[in-house]
Amino acid sequence: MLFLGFLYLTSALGTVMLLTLMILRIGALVGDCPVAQARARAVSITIATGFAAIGAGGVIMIGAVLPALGDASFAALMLTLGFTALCLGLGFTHAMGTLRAALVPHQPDQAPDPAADAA
Amino acid sequence: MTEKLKKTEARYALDPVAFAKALILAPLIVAAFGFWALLIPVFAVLFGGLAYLVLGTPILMIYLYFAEGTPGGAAKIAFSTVAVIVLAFWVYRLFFDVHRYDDGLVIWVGFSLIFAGLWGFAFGKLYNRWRSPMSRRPLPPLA
Repeated sequence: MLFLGFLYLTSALGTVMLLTLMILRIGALVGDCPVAQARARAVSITIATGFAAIGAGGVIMIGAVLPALGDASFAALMLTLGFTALCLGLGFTHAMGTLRAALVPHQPDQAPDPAADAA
Repeated sequence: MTEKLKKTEARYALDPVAFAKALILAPLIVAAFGFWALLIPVFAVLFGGLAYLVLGTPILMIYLYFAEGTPGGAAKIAFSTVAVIVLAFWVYRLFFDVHRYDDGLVIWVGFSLIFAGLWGFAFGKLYNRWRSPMSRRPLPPLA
């Protein structure tokens, strides 16, 4: 059981770490663009922090069902790891979505009406 | 970015805090408002809560990437998920002898379908109440 938990935590938290590093790297790549520079660094670090925290929390909570599936330990390991990878991947997709949304320069919702200025 | 996106091409970002809060609170709120119905919604949380979390997390995350996420849409996706599982079990039952589950099967199926819809709707309501403005707008296309 101890070995199983060790295997699970190493693989799952390793995945979290890799994906967090990838968010930071993508942020650094976008940071090379002069238009998005200042925004990209701060946004990617914010998103990576949130992703790491939520991801680690999810991994630990999914790990809590590992002993409940006790007897079929290999199947339990594969099920939990698969579910973790699925959710982390989906979270990564949404993190990229947030990065995309945050990189758009701020636009006021309505352009000021020129007729109102003239009056 | 100037031209409007077609509806099928729109993608949405997730608000993780609102998602987590809504996902966990939706069954509890249904139970809190429906406890008078012979405590059935309360026992539904005990029987179906884990399945709801395990299936609901990835499926709602996928759904909220591709759709705007109205309460009705979330209810529809939750109902059809359970309906697909029920259909799959029904097909399995045609070919294999699993009739030891027949006791109260109709009740299980009926209640799971009802509560899938209810919890999905409650999730959509709560998520739409709490989500950030950024997650409401479609994402800008990749330049």
